[in-house]
Amino acid sequence: MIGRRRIAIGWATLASLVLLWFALTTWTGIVSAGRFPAPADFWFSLVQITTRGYAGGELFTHALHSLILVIIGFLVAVTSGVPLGLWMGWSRRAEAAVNPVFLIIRPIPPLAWIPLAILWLGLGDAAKIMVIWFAAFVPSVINSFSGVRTIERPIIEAARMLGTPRWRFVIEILVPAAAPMIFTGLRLSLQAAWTTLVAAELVGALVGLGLVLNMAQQDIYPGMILVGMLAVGVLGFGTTWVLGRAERRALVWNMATRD
Amino acid sequence: MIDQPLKLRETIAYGLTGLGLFIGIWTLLSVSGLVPYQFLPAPLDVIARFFALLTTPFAGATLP
Repeated sequence: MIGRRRIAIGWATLASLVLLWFALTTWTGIVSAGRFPAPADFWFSLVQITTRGYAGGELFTHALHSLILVIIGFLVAVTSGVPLGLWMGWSRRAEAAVNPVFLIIRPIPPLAWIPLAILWLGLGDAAKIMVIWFAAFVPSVINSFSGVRTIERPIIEAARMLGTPRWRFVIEILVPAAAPMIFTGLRLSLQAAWTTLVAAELVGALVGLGLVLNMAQQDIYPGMILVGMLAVGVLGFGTTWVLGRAERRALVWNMATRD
Repeated sequence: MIDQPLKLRETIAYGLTGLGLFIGIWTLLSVSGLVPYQFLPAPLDVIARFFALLTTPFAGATLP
């Protein structure tokens, strides 16, 4: 019942926004088409990119390419960031050794890596994956680290008292107890990956949603800009939803992930 | 198990070791020629450039 109500409220909000969009652009003309595209312009752009293509490909091609880049960058970031964060949280020595380098590298904006990434890896997808990796890596490390450090002391003491072997402690206590924070980190990482993708694709991309946005900007084509933006939004929503489902499956014991 | 907190001296020692390892690998990659100089300049060159930029303008301004 609560789920249905939530869905209904979500659709009602969406419908209100679309109505407001129509009202401001098409019916009253308060917002001119040059400033923000009308729904008809958006629809025309959507049909164009879906059927005839734009910026060297159809919407599906651009979206799929961007999605693959984000997934690869995200997976590389997670598989490197989560273990590093867990290790830093688990071992004070590791934290002391890695933290100074991490603290220096962490504040560097992901986009500042673009020139070096292009220099090192060229204009292809590898450079974009590197930039996405960096953006998604930092939240993964920080949240995994915090997840370990917020494990209640009695749990650790009980494991120690019972003589739990190290590997068992990691698999059965450390990772499950830190999992809610790890998933929070994954959500932030995914969001960072999408945010960075568009900026990374603005430079030297042959296909992708970033290229669509860049080309639409050069063509002064607001309708297509909105299509690109919405495509990123929808894909971001979709990937977050999938991650949310995975979180609920992984953390069935956690009340916070339940409805 | 999660370790006990380190003493300040130990924290500094491990921190310096980590930083030293990072800079060491960077230097090794650059000086050995494994990565060409124009792609990865050595740390000392970066530091020298940093100090040079404090007084010599680049892209229309000095670093400060």
